Amino acid sequence: MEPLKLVLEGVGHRYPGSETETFSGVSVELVPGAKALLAGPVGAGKTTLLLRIAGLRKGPGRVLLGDGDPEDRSVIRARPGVGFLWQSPEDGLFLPGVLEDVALGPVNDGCATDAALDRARASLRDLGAEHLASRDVARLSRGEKQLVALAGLLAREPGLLLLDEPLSALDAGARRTVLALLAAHPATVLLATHSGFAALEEAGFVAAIALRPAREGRAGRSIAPAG
Amino acid sequence: MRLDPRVALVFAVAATLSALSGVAAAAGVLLVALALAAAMRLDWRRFLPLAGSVGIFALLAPLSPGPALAAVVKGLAVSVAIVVSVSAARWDRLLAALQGAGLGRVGVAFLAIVLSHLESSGRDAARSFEGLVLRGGFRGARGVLSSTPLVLARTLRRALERADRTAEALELRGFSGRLPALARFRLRPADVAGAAAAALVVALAVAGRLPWNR
Repeated sequence: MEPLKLVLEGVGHRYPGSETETFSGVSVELVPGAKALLAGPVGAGKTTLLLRIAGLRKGPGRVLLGDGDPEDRSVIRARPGVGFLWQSPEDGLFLPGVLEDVALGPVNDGCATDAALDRARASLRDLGAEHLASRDVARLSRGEKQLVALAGLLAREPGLLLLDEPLSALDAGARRTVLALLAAHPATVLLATHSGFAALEEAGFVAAIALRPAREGRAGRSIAPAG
Repeated sequence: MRLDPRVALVFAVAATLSALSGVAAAAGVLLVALALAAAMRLDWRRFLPLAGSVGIFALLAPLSPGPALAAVVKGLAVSVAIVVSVSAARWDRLLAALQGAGLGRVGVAFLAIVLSHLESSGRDAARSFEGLVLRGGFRGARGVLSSTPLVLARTLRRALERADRTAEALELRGFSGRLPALARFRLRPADVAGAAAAALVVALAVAGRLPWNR
């Protein structure tokens, strides 16, 4: 799929029953293929903002993806072309076998099983994780699950990758592999993290959004230069 | 040793129908299923979920009149055969076999979500158990009595919390009730054993219907 443009206009979020907004006024434009960072400490709302962009949360402001999608839908549904990596990788894994789980997305996108399995193998190979293909998901380490979950996203050939702390459980070698792959990948990438900025910026990621946590009744705010 | 999921399904269906056909056949199915479990070296803990009902059956059996005892034996045979079949192949492969046999997307999605959730809840329960053991729980009879409800409550709470996350994750992955199809069937020694077991339980049912066995 072609890389997608992402535009956020005054996006905010407030949990039901809360008097303060978790974050507010997030505005940014990511050109197709941009590699951007979403920074902020733990609890600042990074995951919520990513879910909002993916289409699974509603709130003030607008999220525009590609050429439109003005959020006028009555049903909350994931936007097409978006790959989402959960902070806890097991949240995004579903089937007990690694290869079958990675192929799940392509199969549901309409690929024949053989083609989907080929794409799954290629994604695992790109991440240096082809040796995991025949393993059971339940027996993987957290870092291995992170690689498998990422392979599952890449196999669908998304136009926008929303990654929540994708490097948190990886060793140094796997981090280098993943960063190099993401930097060279055609998709637009928004990567949420609270650490390791130097390595990410060195790999070509640009700080785009910084969330501050809401404290003592004061609403969170964002610093979001257009990029 | 794992069975091809298609063979495991055939065994499950044959064993269920055979066990329901008569008490003698049910007893035979029970033995065949246990023999298959032994041949596959199934972990005995797979049968733990049946322990409660087996215990109740064992307690009630001496007190049960004929028809109730027959129902108990049939139920036990069906339960054991299904546990053996489900354990003989990965659940997603069994579902893929059902998908190949014509089960629709809604059915596949429903069963996949239930089975995935049960698997995750099992892992949660194991983690909660280990966590409590490391913190001094489950020591002595009193410890077991006080710790068990904690593990059950925490597992249930996490299962409920995970339900929303699972729904969102499946939505984000574009899941619409399709699983990767099974590869072309290739007969392996394990499948020969599974097919023989299926043929045996069918033979038991047929033998029970022969005139001189009535």
